[in-house]
Amino acid sequence: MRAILKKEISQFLSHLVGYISLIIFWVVCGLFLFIFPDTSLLNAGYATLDELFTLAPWFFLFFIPALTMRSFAEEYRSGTMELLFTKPLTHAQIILGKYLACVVLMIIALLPTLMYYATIRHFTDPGIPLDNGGIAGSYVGLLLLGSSFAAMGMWTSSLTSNTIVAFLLALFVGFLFYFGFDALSHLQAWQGTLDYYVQMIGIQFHYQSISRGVIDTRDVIYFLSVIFFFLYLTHLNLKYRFIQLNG
Amino acid sequence: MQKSTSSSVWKKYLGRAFGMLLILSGLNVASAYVHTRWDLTAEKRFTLSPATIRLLKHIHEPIRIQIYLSGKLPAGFRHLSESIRDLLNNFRNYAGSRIQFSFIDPASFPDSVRSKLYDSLTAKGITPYNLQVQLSAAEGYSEKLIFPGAVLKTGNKERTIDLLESKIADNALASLNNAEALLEYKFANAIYHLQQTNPPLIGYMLGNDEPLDPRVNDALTILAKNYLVDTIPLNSYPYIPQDFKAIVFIKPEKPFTTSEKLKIDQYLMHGGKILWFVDDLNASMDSLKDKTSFIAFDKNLHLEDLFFTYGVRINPDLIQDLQCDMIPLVVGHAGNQPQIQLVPWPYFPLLAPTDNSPIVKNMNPVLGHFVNSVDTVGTPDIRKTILLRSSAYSRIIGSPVKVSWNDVRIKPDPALFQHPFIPAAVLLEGRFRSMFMNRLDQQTLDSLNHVFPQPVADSSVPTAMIVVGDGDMAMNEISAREGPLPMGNNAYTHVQYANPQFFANCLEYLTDTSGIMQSRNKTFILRLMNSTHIEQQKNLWQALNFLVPIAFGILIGAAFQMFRKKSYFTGI
Repeated sequence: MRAILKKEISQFLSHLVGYISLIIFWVVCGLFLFIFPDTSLLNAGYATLDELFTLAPWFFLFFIPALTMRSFAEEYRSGTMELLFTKPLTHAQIILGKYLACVVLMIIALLPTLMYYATIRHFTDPGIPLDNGGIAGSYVGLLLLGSSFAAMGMWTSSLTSNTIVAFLLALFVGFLFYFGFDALSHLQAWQGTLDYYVQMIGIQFHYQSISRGVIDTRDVIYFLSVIFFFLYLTHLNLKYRFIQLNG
Repeated sequence: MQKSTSSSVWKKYLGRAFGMLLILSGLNVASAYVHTRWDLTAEKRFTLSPATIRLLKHIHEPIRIQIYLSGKLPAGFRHLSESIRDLLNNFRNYAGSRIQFSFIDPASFPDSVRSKLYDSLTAKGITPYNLQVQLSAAEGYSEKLIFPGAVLKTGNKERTIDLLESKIADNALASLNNAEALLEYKFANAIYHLQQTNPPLIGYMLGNDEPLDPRVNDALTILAKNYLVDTIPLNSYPYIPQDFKAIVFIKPEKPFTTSEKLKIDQYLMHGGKILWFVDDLNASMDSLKDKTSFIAFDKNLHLEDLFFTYGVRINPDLIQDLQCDMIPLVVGHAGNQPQIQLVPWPYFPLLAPTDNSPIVKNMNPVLGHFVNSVDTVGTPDIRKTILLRSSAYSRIIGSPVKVSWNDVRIKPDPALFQHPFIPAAVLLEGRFRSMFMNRLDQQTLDSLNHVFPQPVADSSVPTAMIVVGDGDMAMNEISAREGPLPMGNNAYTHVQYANPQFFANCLEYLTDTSGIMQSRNKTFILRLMNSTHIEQQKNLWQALNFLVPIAFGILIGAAFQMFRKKSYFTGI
């Protein structure tokens, strides 16, 4: 498993595409949080990173599929999947290795955002304590959100041998889970009755709850379930696709 | 590739996926029953008070909430709007779908509907906030009305919340921050009153020449909004029934007789709550209408001994404060028109709420008219909390006080205002000693026990009272054009002070059985960045926030290449 994780990360970092997607992520963050006046941290004047945690799901929606799209699709396309299967590795190990590589890359992408924290600390008078607990909680929420998107990306990548299709599918599934259920809850049909529960199926509900800095076991279990479910689907894909390939 | 295998594979795939979905759904549903949460925020912002949670769990009828803060708003208001959404989502954690809310942008409606909506919102008591919006450099400014309020409805009952309560004057962000800290209380309190079927009964005391005219219009309106109100003519009632959860004295003018004091005393002993707005000196602006000065003389209310036993004293003096309201003064004539100028009038202090009690926490200043200082005395069993006090630059003018227009013609010398923080309102809580303890002979006691529903008591059950050294604080001015104004509203400048909130909170505290009042006690730290600092270094830090991540990326790339070469070499 560690070999896979290493291989995946080094593969990502040895291609220009990897750096480009990282840099685009940071530049977009910088544009929204420091240049565009409507969402600029410096314009709002509050010493919080709330704006980052509101916008980050959007950025992740595009960025994470870019990380995950190649995981299996590329292996299918180049025919190295069979090679991988001949190694003494279980399916679960292959999936976890590739998945953790994506999570590690996501964490690398998030590390420079600590610079934003340094910025608001710099501009706040030393007497005023920042809400460190709240910010840490928000980061936990963001990591869980990104990990869920990554699990979805793994699954869509295992469905096809075309990386573009994998990317678009991941984008669509992520969008559906993040905004779809929330939008669905606004349907007139269940206004005032089921809307609350429909909202609860979606990711946004749980993400917003955690990103305030409140860690609730229900939200954590929800995220872990989503991650596990999509990794399990990936596992099923490999399993049955493997049968098909051989049969 | 046979079709049968492929379809059976599909069946297996779907069957397992669906099975896992069921298992995980079950896990999630189960997790909803046993859950804990950690509020990591520094001030425990998202932790509701136990009273609020209890209230939310017992909502029996769905409550619909409409919040009129939406659309394009400046950052401060958007922040407030987001906090409301957070709070209401949090409410739903306990109340589920019995709380329904929606955000409405009043500006999004077509013109004809909009003006009607504006009128109805204003009529409901949401004060519009006028905002200057810069359109673009060429177009200049446009005005936009913001209604920082919410309407709660259940069945046919309705309540309005004014989120800002007073005009944002000097420190807009600070008052928005206060508004945010009060959100939980305001929404919980509104829900509490919507749910309440039997509001507490409150007695408005008469019989000692207390006003019952348009000057107490606002006080009676506030009372009637939340409570059942009845008047109690003290002299004609044999006793004050304990059915009254609290009684209110506003500006009595006539001396209290011993028998009246006995009725009050015994009402308190049996658990009654009392709110006093009492002037010790006779002073009013009317006396200055056609004179240049007057002497404020003692009213002789004969309440000193009663208050003294309970642990408080209203002094025969007046507070002068440099932090004070403005009054119009005719300074001369231009032609036949009087020339009017606004001058500070130190006898109308703007009393600052202390942070000691949920009654006054996060509140704006309260306007007083000729305020007597209040002292606490002795009685160790009684917990005394100062609610309102003067500013750091104030002083006491002892009796006899000569109030004169000349006081404003000379610019006050701050060096003479050396007596800071003079208390003007005190909350007393605990077991009070009766003023009549050991003072009644057996015969009197026996006859009294026939009249009173409960035997005469020497000391009280735990109860509370609030003593304010100003009768006018709960009274309103009457404008010739608009009729009775809210209390604490300057008829000339129309600046609104926090008197209505203070009055309402005092009553709420005295009659509160649910404990919701405690949620007023929140403190939110206002975390603001230093804007001048930002102006100076904005470009530098913008650049830094772009370059540092990219440099980090390059660093990782370089490190990775080095690492790869190294391992390549060691590999050989």
